[in-house]
Amino acid sequence: MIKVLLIFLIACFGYSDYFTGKSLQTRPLVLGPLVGLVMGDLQAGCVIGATVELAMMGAVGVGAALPPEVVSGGILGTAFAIAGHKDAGMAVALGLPIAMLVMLLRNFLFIAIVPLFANRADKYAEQGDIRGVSRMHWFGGIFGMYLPLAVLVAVAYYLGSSVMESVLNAIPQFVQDGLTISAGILPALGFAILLRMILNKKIAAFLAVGFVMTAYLGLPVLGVAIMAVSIVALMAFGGFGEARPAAAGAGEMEVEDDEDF
Amino acid sequence: MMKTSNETRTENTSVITRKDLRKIFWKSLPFEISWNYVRQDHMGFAYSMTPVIEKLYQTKEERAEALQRHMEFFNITVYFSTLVLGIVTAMEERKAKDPAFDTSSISNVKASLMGPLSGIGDSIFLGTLRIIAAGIGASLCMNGNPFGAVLFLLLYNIPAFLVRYLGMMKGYELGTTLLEKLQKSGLMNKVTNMTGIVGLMTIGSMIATMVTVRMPITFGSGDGVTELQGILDSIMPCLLPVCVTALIYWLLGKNVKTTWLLFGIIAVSIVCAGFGILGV
Repeated sequence: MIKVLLIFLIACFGYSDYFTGKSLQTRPLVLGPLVGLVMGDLQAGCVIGATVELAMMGAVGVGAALPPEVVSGGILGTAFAIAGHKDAGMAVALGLPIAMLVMLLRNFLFIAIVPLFANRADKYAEQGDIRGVSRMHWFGGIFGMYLPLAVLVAVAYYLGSSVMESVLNAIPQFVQDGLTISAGILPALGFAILLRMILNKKIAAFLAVGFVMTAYLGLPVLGVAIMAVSIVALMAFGGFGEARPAAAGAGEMEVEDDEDF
Repeated sequence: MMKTSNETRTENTSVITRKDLRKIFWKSLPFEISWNYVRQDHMGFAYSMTPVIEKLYQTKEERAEALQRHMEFFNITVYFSTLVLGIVTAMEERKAKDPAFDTSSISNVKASLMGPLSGIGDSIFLGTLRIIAAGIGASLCMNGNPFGAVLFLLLYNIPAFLVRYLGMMKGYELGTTLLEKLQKSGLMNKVTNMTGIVGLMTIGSMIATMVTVRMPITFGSGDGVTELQGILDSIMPCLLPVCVTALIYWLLGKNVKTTWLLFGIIAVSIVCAGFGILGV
């Protein structure tokens, strides 16, 4: 029972990454030795942690894509492997499916639970209530994500590895797929909200230009942004010299028109 | 600079002090705790801006306006969040002094910075520095030395925190000098549309990269099998993401609540996955 509590504390430490600005104590490399200490085999914890780290090297949040959940996978994989006197390979084999399962749960929290706090925060923002918005930011993080995940890791450790596997198999595949699909669609909602803010008829065409550059020409976002800045610089400082004063004048006029609007 | 800040709080000098910037720096650490799929880091951004909003705006209406402005969609590699916060702080300061300042340029600047900075940040920090630090740490841990973990954290976090802190200070300076220059050169009133252009182009690009919708439906059988997704791709790449974004944009215009859209998207996704209409 003390071990369950200690595993819970390690999970709390791992997830505290979200409070300290993504300082990467989520990684199996960091959590492995701690789990080893709790399980009474520091050496094994180090070796397994390092192995799981290399196996999950690719699992890191880049852009909007979310990777397998490494905290649960790292802690539980290492703990189950040491408890069963298995090697690092076993830790990876156990850790990866767990990381996938917890990722589903975490995505559910990100999709359905945390936005509820965000909606409350919107209400506070409407009233100009700074403290209310701050409170929702913390509550959303702590109750919507942090505590559920940390408790889950401790419960999963308590239940053991075989139970974890059957839970994973019990979720219908189409529900898992559906959640993954909605995770791909939801950024569209964010962009649509943003577009409602900044879209106006005069410059709307540039949305299509940016889209085409990436969708058809395969330019990354950074490339598109540099292009956008160049276009803006041309409009601001260009005018194409003395060679075509008329065209430059016309360009200027267009911009002037926008302000009258 | 800190000690003179209070005495020099006049019309022309800055109201925001280094101490305020440091406050934002600390508040930006839990930037991602309320990350969610809809507006991502929006609450983190609003929370980080609270010292500025509190100081610059006194009335309830002004504060409400500023808070709502920063509750919009935002996403960034967190180590660069302070750079944007610094620039936006300078813009908010200008807005507080000059009521005619067009606030949509603030949203535009945020929208146009997040994509490119995330691209650079992800590849520098998560793609490169993390791999190097983890490689060095793991080689120690493999031999049973737990200090590999400590070394990993230090190698990664010292640069990360330096970038974060410098981003805060330099971002604010950059924002302030840039805004002053723009005002002197008379370009200020064009800035809204110009930043809007950069913002729109990056959003257009992000719709193509970050929104994913696929239809795995097939027609015919055997050799004559045709994939619907193939047809859609040949009409236009990313056709479905564009349609979905446009549909949501239209629904928002009809005043459909974001909460309903949120649950609608989840429900439709699961149902469509069940019938095989949408795929991963």
